[in-house]
Amino acid sequence: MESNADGRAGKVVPAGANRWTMRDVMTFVIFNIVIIMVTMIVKMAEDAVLSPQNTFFVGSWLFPLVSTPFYLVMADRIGKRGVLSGSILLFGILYTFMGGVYCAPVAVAGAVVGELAMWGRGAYRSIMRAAAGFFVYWATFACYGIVPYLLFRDAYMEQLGAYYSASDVAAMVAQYTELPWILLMLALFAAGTALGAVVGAKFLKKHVRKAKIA
Amino acid sequence: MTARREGERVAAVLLDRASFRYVDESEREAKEASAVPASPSAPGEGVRDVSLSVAPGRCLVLCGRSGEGKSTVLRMIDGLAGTFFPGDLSGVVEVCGADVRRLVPRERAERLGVVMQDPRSQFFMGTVGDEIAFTAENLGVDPAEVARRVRAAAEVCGVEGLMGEGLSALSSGQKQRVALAAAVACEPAVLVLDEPTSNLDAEGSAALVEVLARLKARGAAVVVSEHRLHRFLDVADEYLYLRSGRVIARWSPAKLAALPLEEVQALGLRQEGPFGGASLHRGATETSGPAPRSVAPEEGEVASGEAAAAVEAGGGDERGKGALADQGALSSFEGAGENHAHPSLSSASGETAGGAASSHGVGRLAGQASCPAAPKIKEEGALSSFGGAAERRAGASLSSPPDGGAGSARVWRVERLTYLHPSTKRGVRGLDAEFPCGAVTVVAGPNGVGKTTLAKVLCGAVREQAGRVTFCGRPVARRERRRRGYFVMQDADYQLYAGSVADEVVLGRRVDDALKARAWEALEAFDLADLADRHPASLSGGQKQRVTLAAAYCSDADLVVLDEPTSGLDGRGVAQVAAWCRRLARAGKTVVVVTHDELLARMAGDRRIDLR
Amino acid sequence: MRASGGGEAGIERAPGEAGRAFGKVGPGRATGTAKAAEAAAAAAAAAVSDGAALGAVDVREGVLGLDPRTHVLAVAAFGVASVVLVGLLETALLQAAAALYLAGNGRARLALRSCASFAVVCGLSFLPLPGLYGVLFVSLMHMVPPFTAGCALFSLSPSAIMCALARWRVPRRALVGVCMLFRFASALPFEARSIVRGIRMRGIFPRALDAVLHPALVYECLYTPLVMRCLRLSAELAASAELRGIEADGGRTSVHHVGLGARDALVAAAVVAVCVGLCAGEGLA
Repeated sequence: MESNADGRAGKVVPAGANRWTMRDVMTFVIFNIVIIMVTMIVKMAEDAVLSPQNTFFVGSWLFPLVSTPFYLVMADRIGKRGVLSGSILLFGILYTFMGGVYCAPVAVAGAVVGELAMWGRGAYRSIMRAAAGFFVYWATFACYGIVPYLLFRDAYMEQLGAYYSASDVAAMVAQYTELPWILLMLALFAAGTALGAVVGAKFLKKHVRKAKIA
Repeated sequence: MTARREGERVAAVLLDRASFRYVDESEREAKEASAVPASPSAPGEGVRDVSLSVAPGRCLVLCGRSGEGKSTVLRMIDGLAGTFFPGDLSGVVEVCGADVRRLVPRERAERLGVVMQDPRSQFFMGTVGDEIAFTAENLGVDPAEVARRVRAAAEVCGVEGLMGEGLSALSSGQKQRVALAAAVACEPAVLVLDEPTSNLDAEGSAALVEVLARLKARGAAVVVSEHRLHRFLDVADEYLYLRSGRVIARWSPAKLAALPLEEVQALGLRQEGPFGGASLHRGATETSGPAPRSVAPEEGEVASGEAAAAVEAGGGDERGKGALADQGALSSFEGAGENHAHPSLSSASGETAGGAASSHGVGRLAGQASCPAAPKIKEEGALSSFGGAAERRAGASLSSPPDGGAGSARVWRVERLTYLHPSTKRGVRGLDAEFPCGAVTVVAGPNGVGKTTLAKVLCGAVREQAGRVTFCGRPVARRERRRRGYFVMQDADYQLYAGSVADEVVLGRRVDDALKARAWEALEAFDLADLADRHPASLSGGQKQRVTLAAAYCSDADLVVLDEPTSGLDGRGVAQVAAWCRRLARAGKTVVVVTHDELLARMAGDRRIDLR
Repeated sequence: MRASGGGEAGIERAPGEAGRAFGKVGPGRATGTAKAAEAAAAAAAAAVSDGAALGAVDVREGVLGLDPRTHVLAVAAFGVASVVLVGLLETALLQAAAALYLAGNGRARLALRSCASFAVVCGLSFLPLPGLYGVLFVSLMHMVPPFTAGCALFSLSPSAIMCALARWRVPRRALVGVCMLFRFASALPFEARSIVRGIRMRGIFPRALDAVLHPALVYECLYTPLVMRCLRLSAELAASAELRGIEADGGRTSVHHVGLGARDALVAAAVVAVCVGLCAGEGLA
């Protein structure tokens, strides 16, 4: 039998340290969907309440805050190479099919960076490293937000040209296109991830590890 | 399939002195670190020295209390034990003549079909047809052949009209039959089912058993793990009773049906159908001696025959005592608390004794009255008026409600209640019913008739579309009902939030001394004191339910509704749920139990409402 | 053909196109009794013997009946075009083409709805709203055509998608992952609703205000059952997948149509031509 037994007396031989089992695949998919759905729900809620300028300030720390605890559970349960890069790629693929072909190269880049950041054994089980890796996920997400403003620049310049001058439009999109703002956004993502990691660590110990559910 | 022995039918499933011991992660890591081989006789959960064989076209039913090894045996047959569930497997485990550990995935999928308890966690596709085709597609079968197999499987299982339907739209009975069709699509030689009827009502179970009979006739070997044994009497060829991981008894269906009531209870099996019913098999009790012949004594567990004898001696001829026995049983039950009900029973292992005593006491309250059908709803008076009155008296003395007293009828009532689901247009229509305080009301009926809808309206989860809900004659708004109601969902996983049992019981409220005392009282009452620090998710299904009930006991809610609390529970578990419902009722709460489980309805209900 | 399904539940519904894969099953009702099942089987057998059923194995979705991989190509083409195009008219034409593509794949109503959303977003982008809204709506507008084409892919059966990806030598475990994406994406809302209902019915937050005052507790009450449930589901589904032969060697098949053919080449060429044409046309104008 392929999976784990060596056929002698049914003793379990551990699979290669980085070989994903079926359970790992399922855990990966389901938790990623949870993270994506949680993010979408929070996004829709904030879009309903706040204007795009202000969602910049709220979403950037709120998304990682609510999703990092789930990511930490997934990282802890699977603990193998490919969790972070897979997650980044998965989100990127979904975004691509939802209408942003530009997301694909960004996702690939993010995945490579992320997996390099998680190099070494046991990286995923260490909460701090896992959270640091998750920041790469959100940095990539930030890029998905930034890139349209760069890519569609001509399109919206042309269309909004009737109402606003070019400099006005530039001022409006400064939040997503100018470096200081981008750095601020990344800092907010980092703060959210850190806070989410604190919450997530507490829950991970209190619930998941204590309950010892496989 | 090669013949194992000459002149014998080849067994489709063969276990010979097979044992399996679960090894959890930490133990495995410690083993790896120290490189010391595990001793084969190390204690741990699992099964030991199990031998069984099932020939093609025969059906074997595994029975026993929860947690005694039935699922483990099924996992050994599946080939999951040792691989998916880490552990040490030894002995002979063969399926179709080949060692199950040596089967490659393809062979395993071709020879074994598996149906698990919860259909939701077995489905991979969106529609019925795709789901049934899944295994064949995995194996790379030619599409035309896949379509043929799917049609054939669907016809055998009675779901051929549902091919294009979405899986989430089906009823539980239909889902289970689709899962069965998916398991038999590749015509496996062995069919393994893990508690397939636990979520099904009588009609759904009957349909499933019929399908199994047809599959047997086609030559499949069927292995089923079940609690509801009486439903399989027509189709089973052998029953195997497991306890503590060993095979204790083997019965033919006739022998099982002839088991006396005390033995059934002592074994922890569900007393339904031929056993436990007052009308049948009266003679069997008188002829069988106190020591059950077919149960071998087990070390660490004083022969349950003694327990049965003690019960018999203590209770005398139960059937003759009737109402007085109710009174006696109830008072011993109330006075002494669950675990110490009967002094001679405590010589047997504590849990069994408690269970046997309470099931003995509570079981006597059963009375079965056949009810002529009324148009929409039919109501019976208290099943055992004597018992019911004792309950109400006890309830009134323990908790003194401000506007209490027998005269002002503290009841919850629904009047001309109507709620129809917007999508399916099913629900309750013009329903009138009452639910008295301090008593357990059972709402019974087949699946899909509107029981859960009624429960949701009562608890304020949905607003009624017509009619009203009143308490002591005054209408109660939905928001207040939500505040005063406490709904225990069927799947306890959805309602456990805290990191320990103790925290769970007091969740959401400021913990002061009064609340702490009450919480401890709740933990004691539901026998959770030694589990207080455990994480709720690490408990067994029955224990989880106890936790939610203890939380209900401790809360301020005065209307407690339980939705199908006994799916998947064994006989002792059902008796315990019935006992806890009574405990809640005695604390002054109004308890409503929504169930299609006749056994629970008999055991727990002071009043019964049948929805048709 | 209309087979009434859901006998016990009493739900009358015509089976979707996917049901066609398994041939004409006569008007059988899925009831529990043996007699009814036998009658249904007899009716089905009669229908089969009519000869009508045997051909319906290779189910094609819609008029075009394309391989899933063609959809992937179409999404990529529409996606690139939508990024390159600037003008409103060209984008609208692109959306029209995408909607036509979707309709040709059997999802006409969805195509219409998508065009309606496009119109709404387009209209919103013209409103003199403050700040970034205009930019936001313009970007959104450009995302609708590839999304429309993407719907054609997502509405396929997972079985077809898995089989197509297997032809591209995607590893088996990844295939399962893809299948699970569809499965969980539809199951999770149900789980989430059950969890929220469980919280409300347990009365932890008697008033809405309590929920606002204790966000941490709200989060924990949502987090814990969700995580436990997800861990349990993944374990059970993994066991079930292994038993259903997901690890078996050899290729996969599907009752749905999978296989690149002339139709796929033609449609792919058409889609690419339209996209290139629009971009070039805009470039010239």
